[in-house]
Amino acid sequence: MMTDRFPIVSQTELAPGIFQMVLQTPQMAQEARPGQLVDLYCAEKDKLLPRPISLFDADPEEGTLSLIYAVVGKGTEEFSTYDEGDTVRVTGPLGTGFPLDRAADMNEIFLVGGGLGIPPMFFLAKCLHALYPEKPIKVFLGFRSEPWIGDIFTPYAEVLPSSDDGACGFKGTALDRMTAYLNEAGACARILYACGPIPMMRAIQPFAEEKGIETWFSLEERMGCGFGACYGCPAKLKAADGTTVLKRVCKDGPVFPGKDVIFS
Amino acid sequence: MKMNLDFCGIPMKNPLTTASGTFNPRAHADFYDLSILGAVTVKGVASTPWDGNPTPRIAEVYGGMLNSVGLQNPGAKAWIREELPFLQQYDTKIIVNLCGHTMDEYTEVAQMFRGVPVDLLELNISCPNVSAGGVTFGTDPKMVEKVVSAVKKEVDKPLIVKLTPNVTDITEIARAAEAGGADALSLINTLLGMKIDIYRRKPVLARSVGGFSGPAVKPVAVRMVYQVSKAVDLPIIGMGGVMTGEDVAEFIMAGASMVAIGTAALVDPQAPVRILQELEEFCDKTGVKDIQEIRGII
Repeated sequence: MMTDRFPIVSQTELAPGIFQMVLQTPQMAQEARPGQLVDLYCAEKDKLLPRPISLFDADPEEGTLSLIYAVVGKGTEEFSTYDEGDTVRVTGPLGTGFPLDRAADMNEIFLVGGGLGIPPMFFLAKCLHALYPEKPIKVFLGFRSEPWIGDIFTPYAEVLPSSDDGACGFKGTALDRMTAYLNEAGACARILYACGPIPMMRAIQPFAEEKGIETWFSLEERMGCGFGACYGCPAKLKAADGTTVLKRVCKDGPVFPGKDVIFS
Repeated sequence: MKMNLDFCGIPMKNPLTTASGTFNPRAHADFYDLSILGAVTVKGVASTPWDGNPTPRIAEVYGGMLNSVGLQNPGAKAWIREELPFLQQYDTKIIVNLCGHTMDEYTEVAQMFRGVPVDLLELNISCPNVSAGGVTFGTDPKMVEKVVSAVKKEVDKPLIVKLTPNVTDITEIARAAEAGGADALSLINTLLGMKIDIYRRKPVLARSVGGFSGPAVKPVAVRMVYQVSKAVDLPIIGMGGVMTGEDVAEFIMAGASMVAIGTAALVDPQAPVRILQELEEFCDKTGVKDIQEIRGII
C-alpha cells in the first residue's frame, strides 16, 4: 500500500462518459488483488477528497493498473481530461478484495456485474480462471441499454449479457438472466461474486439464499479518506452471534459475505 | 533545532499531534511511522459502543469537507483491549478523546481510563454531530464548567478540553473550562455546515448538517487560538485546516503549544511526515532555534 504520483500510460473513452485509464504503478500492480480499490486525487485543490475507483485489471509484468470509471461529477470529469504522460496521485491498493479461495470447492462460478460494477469482474474473472482453469465461469453483465464491454471476458468466462431495454438480446436484469440460466442448468455447488447497484444485490441476496449459492458482494458507499481513517463509509453486517456490526467499506471491504449484508 | 516541549508535564518530542476523528492508528500506520509524532490523539471513545449516524456521512465542499460520522466508536472496553496495545508499539504519547451523551456518560468513560496507560485525555464537548452531549455541552459556559469539573475529579491524567467554534464568544467557554479545572484546551472542533444537492433538492448528508473542516476553516481557528491564548493561562493544542508546516508555525505564533493535523491526513495519509519536514525547513529558513520561542509572539 502506498501513496504517490504515477504517470498515465493511456486514457481511452470506451463509451460516452466511460473511460479507461492505465497507470504505470509497478509496486501496486504487484500487490493488486481483484475487488480492491485505489484512491485517485484531483489536481484542483477545490476537490480535496479522493475518488475511490475499482481495479479493472493489473498487469504485474508491465507494471500497470487499469481503471474504468464513469464521469459522474466534477472529480471524474477532471480525470477524463488527463492525457498520456500526465501524472495523477494514487493511494492503494485498498481494501480486501474478493476471496478467490472460496471457489476452490465449487463446481461453477457466477460473476454478476451491473453498470459500473462490471469492471472489477474482469480482473476477478482473469484471476479465477488462472487459479481454476477447469471451472466454468459465467459472467452476467447488466446494462441499461447497449453493452459497452463484453468480448474482453471471453478468454476467461462465458458472457451472458442483459439490458433493461433488450438492446443486447436479453431484456431484463442480470438477475433475470441468471434465473433463466438456472432454470435450464442442473444442480451443483455454486459461488457468486457481485458488484453493482444496491437494488441488484438486494435482489440477489434472497434469491441466492433460496438456491443455496454462496455470495460475496462488493459494496459502494460515499467515502471520505478511502483508507480506513474517517469512518465515513460504514456497512451494516450481521455478526455470527446475531448482533449488528459496522465495518468500513473502504478498508474492511468493499467485499463482504452476501448473506451478512444488511441493506438499509 | 529544538522541537521538543513539555505539555502538561508530559514530554513531547515535537509539537505535532493528530486531530481526533481524522486519525485511525492502524489505517495511518500503513503509510507512516507513528513514532514521528509528538503525540497521537485518537477518535472519540465513549463508555459504550456507538453506531454513529446514517450515510451519507461525508460531503466535499470548497476548501474542505463536511462530516457527520457521529462518533462511531467501539466503546472504551473494546478500545482498551484491542486498539491500545497496537498504539503502545510506537514511541509517541497517547491522547484519548472522550465523548458522552450525558454527564454520567462523561464521568463513566473518564473512570474507565483510570490506571490505563495513556498519557492525556481530551474531553469532547464540541462534536456537532450528536443530538445529545457533544456540542450541546460545549456551548453553555455553566455546563462546560460543570462537566469539566465532574470529569476532572475522575481522571488520573492531564485533562484537555476540546472546544467548539460554534459559539458567540469562545473566550467565555475557555474561561469556563479553566474554572472547571482543565489542564489544557484544544481548539477548534468543526464548524457546523451544510451542503445541498441542488439537482436532487436534498441535503447531501443524511443528517442534513455536519462538521466543516479543511483549509477553509484555518483563519477562524487561528483567530480563536489567538483570542483564547490571551484569555486563559492554559496550554493549547491548536487545530483547524492545517495543511502545511507553515500552518503549524502560524498556530504556534497565535499561541498554541501543540498543533493537530486533521483533514490533511485524510486527504493525504502521509501528510504528518511532510508537515513535520516543512516545519523544520521553516525553522531553518527563519532562524528559529527552539519551536517554543515563537509561541504566542503575536
